[in-house]
Amino acid sequence: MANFKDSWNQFGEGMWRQTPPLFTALGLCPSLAVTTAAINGLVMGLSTTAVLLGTALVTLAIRNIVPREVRIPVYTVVIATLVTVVDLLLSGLVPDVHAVLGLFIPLIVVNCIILGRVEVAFTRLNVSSSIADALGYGLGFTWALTVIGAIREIFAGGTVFGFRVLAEGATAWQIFRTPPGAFFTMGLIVAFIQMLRMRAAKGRSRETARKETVQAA
Amino acid sequence: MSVPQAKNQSLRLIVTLAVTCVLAGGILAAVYGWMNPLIEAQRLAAALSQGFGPIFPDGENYKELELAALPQGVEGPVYEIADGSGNVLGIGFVGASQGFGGPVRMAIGVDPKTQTLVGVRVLEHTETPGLGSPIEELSFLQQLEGKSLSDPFRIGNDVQGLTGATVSSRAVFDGASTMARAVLAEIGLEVAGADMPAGLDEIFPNAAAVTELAVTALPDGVEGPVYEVTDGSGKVLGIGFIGSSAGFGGPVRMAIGVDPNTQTLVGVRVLEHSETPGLGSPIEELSFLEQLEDKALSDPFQIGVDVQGLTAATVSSKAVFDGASKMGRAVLAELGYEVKVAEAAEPAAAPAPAGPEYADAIFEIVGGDASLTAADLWEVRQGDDLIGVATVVTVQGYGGPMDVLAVVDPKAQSLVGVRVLKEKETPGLGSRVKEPGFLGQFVGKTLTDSFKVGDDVDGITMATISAQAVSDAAKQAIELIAQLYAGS
Repeated sequence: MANFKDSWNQFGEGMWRQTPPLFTALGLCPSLAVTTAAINGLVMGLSTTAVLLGTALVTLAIRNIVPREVRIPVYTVVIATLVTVVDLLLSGLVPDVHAVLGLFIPLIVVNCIILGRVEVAFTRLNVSSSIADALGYGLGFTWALTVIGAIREIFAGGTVFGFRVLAEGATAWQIFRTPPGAFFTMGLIVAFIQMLRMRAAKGRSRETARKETVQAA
Repeated sequence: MSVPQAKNQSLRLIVTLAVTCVLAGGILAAVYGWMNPLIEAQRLAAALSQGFGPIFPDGENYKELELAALPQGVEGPVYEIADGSGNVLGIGFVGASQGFGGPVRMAIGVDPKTQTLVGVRVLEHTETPGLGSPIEELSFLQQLEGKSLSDPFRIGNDVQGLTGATVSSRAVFDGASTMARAVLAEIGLEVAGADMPAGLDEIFPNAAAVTELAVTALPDGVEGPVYEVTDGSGKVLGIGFIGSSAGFGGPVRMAIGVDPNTQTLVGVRVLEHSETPGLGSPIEELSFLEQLEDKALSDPFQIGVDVQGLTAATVSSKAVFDGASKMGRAVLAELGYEVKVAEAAEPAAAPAPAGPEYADAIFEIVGGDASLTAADLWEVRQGDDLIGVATVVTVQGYGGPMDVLAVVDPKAQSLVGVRVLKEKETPGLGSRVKEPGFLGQFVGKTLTDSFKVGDDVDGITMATISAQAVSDAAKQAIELIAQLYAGS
């Protein structure tokens, strides 16, 4: 049970506490480049999740036989291989998606989230926590990119996942199609979530204070 | 740690890396082998469904043509497309040309019998959304349907570009036309009079076709071929060719149009040059070239007499005037037209610009005939007489360093003239120090003048610092030269 709790905790780290690229400024390059639409963010996120999960499994299998001195080159080759496999699979099976993401899939290789998780988590934690960590960071990255993509899509053209949510021409701010728009969006999301977190923290401290007062009385 | 262990350890590292790489390679090869047929099939399917399908709606049978070499940009295979009963509808292929944001990949259909485009569809591109991206729209591409490959495909002439997306539009027009011509040529069907050389279409705006003329020998500088340019009804508009003459910085390559009947220039366009930016480079501007339109080839083409040179760019200007007139006359002579050249037509050869980078500007100041001795200072001689000493002084202007060329008469110890060669002053304000009205006032100034703006130099409103900087430079130049030539 303790094991499950640890794993759940580890999952939460990437999923909400340290979500990249919002709260861990890693993987900014793909985030800025591809999130012009919600679908792009979703697919990019899921591809990254797949590579993270694959890397975690391979790392768990070989971490005891890979000498420390060569771990970085070995894991880099592992990641590059997995990314190329994802690239080929996408281009063979879902060419429409690949047409949009083709340029950015190879960027997963240099996405520091992956090598970072190998170093910090997959080589150190137990099996279930490592997998939880991979899923947490992958899905956290996925929702963050999807939300950024959705907001940019709304502001740039009034659609989400290609469905019209605002009247034609209500929003047509081309800047949201460009990388600066991604920065604006990211900043707004971080600010909004921070606001919620600070409110919650304030509420908690008031609660504590009230209890203390009651106790004192 | 003992030595054998260390050996074992490095062996272990090497083996680990080697095994990793071999495994990775094996996995990649396997996945590639599995996916590649799918990927190829999809690209072909996309080309068929989005490209050849709409271009040849009746096309059913695709036969791959064997080409010795694929023309540039063409991806291949090249298909001969026939309908159900075996009638050949045309040739289809996929090719890419360079757009604004990256390659523009398109499916192109050609009718080899009529040498026309059947249609073009853009398959993939990365042009700017909203600006260049409409190249994929039918309303844009439809203008190419049935278009003859012997047309020039020039924007604003026979094809309509997209506003604000000339490069993207050109990628489609030029890409489709050149690749279609190249593919036809590859299967042995040369397109007659296909390429209107750059510049000639501007000189002959009504041109519809060009025919190569047979010449026994190409005159000096002429690249050949020499074209007869005709309009839509077959009327001869003139003769056009491309030629080069020696400029100040290198060859000046231009398109030249002549009218053999009136023996006049129809027009000249400078295509390439390496003249000094800002000095000689305006030879490419229409305002400069317009003076040559309809000009009789029997004219002398002498700067200051019947043609206007550019200030401080005599050599560059001469390259255009002499090049166009000499090559124009020579080509007409070659074609058997009698060219009546006036007596004074051959202007005296210009002195060779020896040494200094700013020879043009120095000649401009001293008025033409002189020879230069290269040094830190340039001595300007007419025959044996030392008529001036030139130097470049760099001073700090308002916007940055300014290079000022001054020519001083060492005997009279007075300024012959001043030119501003390089400046970074505010456009419209400080940049006016280059104007002849301002610079003219330095002519004749001597050591005893104060060179102060507001005193004996008229400044420029709102640009006192720039004006004073030029004045200081002129003063420095005359002081330096007067000191060095004090004895002479």
